[in-house]
Order: sequence, then C-alpha cells, then structure tokens
Amino acid sequence: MSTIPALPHSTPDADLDSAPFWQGLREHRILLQSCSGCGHLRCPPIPGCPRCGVRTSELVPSSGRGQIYSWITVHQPMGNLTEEALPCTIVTVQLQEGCRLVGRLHPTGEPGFNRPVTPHFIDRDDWTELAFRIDGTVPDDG
Amino acid sequence: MMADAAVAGVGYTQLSAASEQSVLGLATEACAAALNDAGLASADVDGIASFMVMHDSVPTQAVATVLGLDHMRFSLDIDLGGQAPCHLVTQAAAAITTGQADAVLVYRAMKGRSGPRVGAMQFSGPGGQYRYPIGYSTYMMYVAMWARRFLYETGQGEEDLAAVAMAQRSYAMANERAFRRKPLTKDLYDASPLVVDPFRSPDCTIEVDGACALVVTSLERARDLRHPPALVAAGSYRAGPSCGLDIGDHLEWADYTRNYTSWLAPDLYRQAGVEAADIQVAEIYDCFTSTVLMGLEGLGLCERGDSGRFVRSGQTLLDGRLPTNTHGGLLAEGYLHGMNTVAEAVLQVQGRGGERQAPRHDVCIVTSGALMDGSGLILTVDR
Repeated sequence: MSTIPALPHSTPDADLDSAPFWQGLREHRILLQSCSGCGHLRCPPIPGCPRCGVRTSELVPSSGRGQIYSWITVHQPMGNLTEEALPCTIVTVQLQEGCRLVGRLHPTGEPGFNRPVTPHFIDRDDWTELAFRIDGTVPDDG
Repeated sequence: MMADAAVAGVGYTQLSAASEQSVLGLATEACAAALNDAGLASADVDGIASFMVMHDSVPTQAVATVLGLDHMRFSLDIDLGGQAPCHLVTQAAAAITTGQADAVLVYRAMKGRSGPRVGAMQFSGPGGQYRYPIGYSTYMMYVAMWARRFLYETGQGEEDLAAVAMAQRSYAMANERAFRRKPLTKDLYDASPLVVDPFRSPDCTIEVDGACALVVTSLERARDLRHPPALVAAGSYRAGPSCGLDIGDHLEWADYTRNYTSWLAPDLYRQAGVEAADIQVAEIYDCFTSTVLMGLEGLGLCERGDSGRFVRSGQTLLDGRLPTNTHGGLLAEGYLHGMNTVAEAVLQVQGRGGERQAPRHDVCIVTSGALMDGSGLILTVDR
C-alpha cells in the first residue's frame, strides 16, 4: 500500500468563514457549524443558515464517522490528479451527525453505498487533509 | 408575455479540434450566420447576450463592434456555465416584449478544445478550497458523484448510461456538424476507457472549438422572416434550495438524484399552458449521459426510474414517443455549452431537421444545466 500522496498546488485557500474549520483539522477535529436558530448542522462553513437564514451559529465537533452516500473513482489524470495519484476514489460521506463531507478514500478498499467510514487525518506541511477509510481497514500512514 | 417573442434564425461555425480563427472571429461568424439565416441585417440588431466561464470568451461589446452595430440598446454578459443558454433566450425574449430591444443575438463562442477547456477549469468561488486540495477538481467528477447515487436509488445502471450515448450517436451519424459520427455499439462502449467511474469516455461530451448563435425577435416580426418562427412559449431559470457556493459545491444539496429540472418543470408547463404529455421533442442538456436520464425524469417525461428503459427501448429515436437530443447532443455534436442544444430545438420546431427531423414537432422542451441550477424553454410552432 502506498501513502496517499499530496497533490500539487493543494494548500486550501482558507478565508474568514473557513479558517476555524481548517484550524480544527490541524488539531484532528472536525468542526461543523450548528445554526443558532434551527440547529441545522452545515458544511462548508458559511455566514448564514441555508435552511432558516439565521446568521449566528456555534462550532460543534463531529466524530467524522458516517456512511458512504456516493463515490467516484478517477482513472485518468485531470486537474491536479497526476498519474501517481491514480486511481483515486473520492467519497461523499453522510456523517452520523447529519451533514456531508467529501474526501479521498484511503486505503481505497471497496466502496459501497452506506458502508461505514471513519475519518483519517493526514498532516501536510501547512494543512491537514481529511480523508476517510472504510471501517475495519488500517491506514498505513496515519 | 413570453409568447410575443420568437427565435427567427440560428447560426453555427464549423466545430473543430483547433480553429484558426480567434474566439471573436468565431463569435461574429456565428452571429452573422444567424442573421443571414433569419433574413435580418446587422442594422436590425439592437441587443446581444452571451456567457462565458473563467474568461474563456469575448464580451458582447466586442461582437457589437465587429458586427458594426450602431444602436445597441441591450447588452448582457453573464458569468454562468451550461445553465445559461435558455436563461439568455428568456432574457432576450423579455427584453423584446418589454420594449428594451427589437432583435437580440444570443451566442456562445469558445475555443473549448485548443484553448481553455471547461472540463479542466478550477472555478472561482469560496467552495473550491474543499475540493481542489484533494483532487476533487473537475466538473465531470461532480456529475459522476451524482450519477452513481441517481442510478443506485432509481434502480438503474451502466447499461442505461450506455443507451443514452448510443441513441445520441445514431442521431449524430445523420448530422454533418457533429464531431463524433462513428457508430457506437454496446461492445465499443464497454471497451471504452473508464474516465471517472461510472463514466466511460462516450458518457462525456466532446470539447470543440466553435460558436453558435440565435436571433430572437418579436413574433410579429418573425412571421415576416425567412423561416417559420419558433415561439418562446415559456422560459425560466430555477435553482433548488441550498444550491451551493459555486457550481462545484453541492454538499448542502439534499438529494443527488434530483437536479434543477424537478423545480423547473412546473414553471415551464404553467407558462406554456401544456403538460409533460404534450411535449413532442426534447433537447436535454447532456454534458454527460446521466443528465439526460435525470432530465427526462425531472421534467416528468418519464416515470422515476424508467428513463433508462425508455431510452433502451428506442423511445428517444425518431420513431419513438419522444425524439430526444436529435443533433447527437453535446455528447456527439460537440460541446458548445448547450447553445447548440437550443439551436437544435429551434431547427426542429421550424421543421428544418432534415434527416433527423422529428415527425411531430409542435412543442419542444429544451434545458440548460446539469446539477443544482439551470434554465429551460418551451418552444412551439406559431399558434
């Protein structure tokens, strides 16, 4: 098994809305916004609730555990995915707490609908990537 | 109100892998061709509308200059992708019916193969930081993510995607403009490479250099021009709830098995005073095969979960119940970002489809867009 590679030009363009999320990942915590009005959990972080419009929220931690809602496997180089990074499986995860995140699946394993996954934090030089692994599989570089 | 405007003509450049013209040259060639097709002159035009993505085209102002327009009263440049063509025709029709303009050119021009390729672009917007660092970086990936969930929940599969690609290729074989004209069998489909699973190469649009333009004017004026008017009976744009931070952000979108067409359809049918069963031709935006299936279901043209069987049983071919993507679609004619999809709808309503003319073509639905938001038109024959 190879290490999940860092991609070229991949440092996230953090902004004022997203900085706490990225700082959370640095500490291996997944921080979601919980709407002060209706309690809707949301990601990505934004300055208002897409359900009720209330513009205040608090950050709450997520376990990062969830189930695969959908996935793709990239077989040809495109964007910043070079040959070395292929094939690359990217999963959309329905978190137990109620919203979705997207990340690379590592090790690739066998993705399937509703398969349970756990978070896999990968520290890069200047940011931390959130990947996922299928429950019961062991990361080789985590 | 919409019913007082009509599309009077269409124009195309050649679709090629590497045009020797500039984008501005392509844009003006297609616009001049559309005017010629309608029987209008530059002096008749007082409005232009277009769209571009990440500065891959030229502004309407430049086209007005090259065409020598001396009284432009209506100019619209929007920053949207494939959601734009029907939306722009709607805006042109509204401009005409409210007296802002008499004749409006709508175009899309791009060197989408030899120049900036939309398929490889990183879109600006606050959503990119969550995608690009992990390689979730092209539009194909986003549509593929939806497609897999759609197929799963609706009980469909790869053979249904293949059916769309094969049906449309058969139309393209009768379309001189089409970029992909070789027959596509199931064996060839199965042997083609996976690009982004579940998509194989025939599931994906083919990028081209070229331009396409339409001219919209009043119904009254259109009646005196060269071809029968294609009446704009309905025009609408819809974005569903939680439509994201940009065209690649759909984490808050609740259901990857339903796109904007589910919200758009009631608007279109109400405006036009028709029902889904009245639609005789469909031109559905198809950057990838899955969006045709999702569109057929979202527009109520098929029952949920039945679009694949509908296509596999030949219902979208000329002798089927609903001829669909009669130019071969963006999959086979080429990726002019859906402007050519609208142009094909116009040709069908006008009865100018030649070998690929639908036998019944009084009421045609056309869409622009693939995921959270998009637009649509219902074009009809003159009533």
